[in-house]
Amino acid sequence: MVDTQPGLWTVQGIHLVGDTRPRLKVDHLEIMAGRTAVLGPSGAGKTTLLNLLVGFESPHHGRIETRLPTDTGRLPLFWIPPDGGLWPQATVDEHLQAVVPHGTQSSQDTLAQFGLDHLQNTCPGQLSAGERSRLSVARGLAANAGVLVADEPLVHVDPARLDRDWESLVSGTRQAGTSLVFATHLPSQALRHADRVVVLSDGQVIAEGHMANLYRHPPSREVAESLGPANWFEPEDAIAWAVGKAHTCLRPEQVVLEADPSGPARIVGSHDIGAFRETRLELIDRARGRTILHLADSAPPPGDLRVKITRRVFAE
Amino acid sequence: MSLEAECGWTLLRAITISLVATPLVTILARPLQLDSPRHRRRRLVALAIPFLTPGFVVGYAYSNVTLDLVHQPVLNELFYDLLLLIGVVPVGTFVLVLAPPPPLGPTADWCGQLAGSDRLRRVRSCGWSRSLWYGPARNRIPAFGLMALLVFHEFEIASLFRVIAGQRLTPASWSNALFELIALQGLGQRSPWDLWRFGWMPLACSLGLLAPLLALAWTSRRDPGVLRPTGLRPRSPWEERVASTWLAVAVGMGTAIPLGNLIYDGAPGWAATWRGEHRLGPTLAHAGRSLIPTVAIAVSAAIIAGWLLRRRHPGLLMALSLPGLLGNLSLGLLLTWTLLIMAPAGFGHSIGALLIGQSLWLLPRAALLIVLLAVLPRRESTYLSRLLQRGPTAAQRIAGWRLTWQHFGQRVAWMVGLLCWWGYLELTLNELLAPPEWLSVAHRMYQQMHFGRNAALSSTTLVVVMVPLAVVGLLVTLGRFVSVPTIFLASGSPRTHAKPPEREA
Repeated sequence: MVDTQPGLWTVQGIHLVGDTRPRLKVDHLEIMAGRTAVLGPSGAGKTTLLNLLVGFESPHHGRIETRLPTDTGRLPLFWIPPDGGLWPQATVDEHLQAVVPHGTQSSQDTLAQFGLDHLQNTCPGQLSAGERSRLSVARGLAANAGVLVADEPLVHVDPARLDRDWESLVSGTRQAGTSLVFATHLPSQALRHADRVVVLSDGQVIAEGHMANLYRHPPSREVAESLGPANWFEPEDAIAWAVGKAHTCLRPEQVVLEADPSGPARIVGSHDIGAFRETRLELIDRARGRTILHLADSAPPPGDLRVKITRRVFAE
Repeated sequence: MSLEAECGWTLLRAITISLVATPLVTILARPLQLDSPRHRRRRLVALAIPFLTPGFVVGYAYSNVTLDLVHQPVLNELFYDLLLLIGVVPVGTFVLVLAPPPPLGPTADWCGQLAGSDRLRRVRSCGWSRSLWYGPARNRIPAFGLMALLVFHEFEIASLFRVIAGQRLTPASWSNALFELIALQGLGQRSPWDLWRFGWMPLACSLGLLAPLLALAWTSRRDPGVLRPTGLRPRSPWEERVASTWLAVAVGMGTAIPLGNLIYDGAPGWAATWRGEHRLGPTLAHAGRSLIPTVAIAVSAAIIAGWLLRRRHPGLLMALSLPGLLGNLSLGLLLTWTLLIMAPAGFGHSIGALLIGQSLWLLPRAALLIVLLAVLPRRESTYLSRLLQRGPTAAQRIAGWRLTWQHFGQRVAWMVGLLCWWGYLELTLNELLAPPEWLSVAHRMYQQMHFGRNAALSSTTLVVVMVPLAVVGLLVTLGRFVSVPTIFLASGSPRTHAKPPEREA
């Protein structure tokens, strides 16, 4: 896939020293316009990278080239920091009034979108953690910036309204033509909302590219598992389990366990975990087994059934 | 120079030094807040050492330097100011480290900068004047005030540096000027109200400098409605370098050189000291006698502060701490005046007055140490340790007592030790309140220091300073060798409602 979108930041030879290991070490990274997810486990360096992008932190070594849109009459950049970064002395309404491009512009719609309209005269100290998260996101949207950087936004929001608020954030940025760069440790959020992804681990970029491409063809087991549930096959395993050399990573939705009297494995047992099923298989000719994660879209297969693993093909 | 002029000069010096110190303590506090516990402990110790070094030792060690600089009063003043800066920076840093983070965190501040001042101006409550109260200034102004207060009250170094240069005594110091009025002109002897005539101005200045700290303490009481940001602005390498350089300079100039100077200067007197020619025996006996009331005072201050904090009486604690925070000279004068007016004759100079005075002086320090060393244990962990102490097996009881010692006993011991250190080396209250037979050994050394330096005085001063350190060293060594007393291990069956586990057959 060819990138046609302009780069917003180029990160070159960045090094931030930590107490015991580097907090971030990036040789080269381009952040494009559009929607980019920064993904990784806790302590991977997501917040550090985002802090550098917004200028909150400076690198000890290396440089960051910034090419934010500045001649559009909009704020070039706004930020949703991990702790909300709310102003304790300002009410909910004043948070939005302080950032909207024209002072008189109504912020009622944005407040209503995030369920804060009944709290507009309340200060952040009197809000719950979830409400503060929502206010921080609402302020970020109201700023109508060219680029919005969001560090684990909506992290304290209850699950019942989490998807709705994410949808508001993403559709709001899309309508305003705002690029969104967000950090998350949830692969599902990245998959749902990002076009591109940067995967971090131990302060280093282990993969970056188009979300769909990396999801289907991850370069390593670590990247595969960072982007969601995966059945990873080392090359020798791929041969033994007869899944084909080209398919080292099979996502659960790609796996079909097909009954086959001459298949290489037999089912030892299985149990369902929500939409997925974990099935324990054992190779016939070797005393080796593994667990396969696949969709629970049919009745559980009987034990001792001989099967082969086939790949369900989706349009790329 | 009149007392009013001395007071004005001292205040000007206090404000100037604190203005220099405030950015420095901001830089020093950040690594402390972000450090790992091991690094943090090392840094805290390095920070505290110059603050714990007695002022009269520093003043004595550098007294010759000020004599050399007597014809260069500006350099003399700058040198004195540098020593004061070294002494007060730890206090300001502790205020920033201990105070709750200001509600307007660095991330919120950065969001404001990203939004731009022209946008923020539209909303009045986002303006800089409101940010002053909610932002970093909320903690920096009280730290500034407390550092200025300590500089304003500095007495010991100024007293040993004070020489006539030109037409006036330098460095200017209201506390020394007032003391000279009391000692040389008998101020307050004819009427205790005379003390007020001269004392109101320094007292008013002290209250003014202390007001922001009291306001911070009052507004920082637990309030679930107040926003507590979690983000700290990450430290930068140059801040690290500034902090490390400052710590090295402060430990070197504030402690290592003065102590090294005592050792080097006293070397010729060591042989005579050991032979007893410099009255080593009586000095040690005097040191021991000085420690006895100090221990009682330290324990009482610790108990009162601990009780007030545990029972959550912040108002009463602040009221009782106020006299101590005003400095020992103000406190001593207030007590002298009160006792002269209200107490039966003769109570002015008595061991009772000394106990009250030093306890009040140590009370705010005890409260600070309780917070700093986290002396008040969490109720849950205390309860679990107590359950273990009453456990059915010796191993559980040992573990219970060991945990109690680690989480509570050790910290209390360090706290009382530090309070004893301050009490033992305190001079002003001792001078104003103690009866002649209870004047402390530190006071005696300090009096002799005014007559110049000599090997005997240097070696004896070193002995006097080392006595409490030797006692602490002895107790720590003993503590390592003595195991948990068997009396604890044999203590009775568990007194809990929980059914003890059944023994296996």
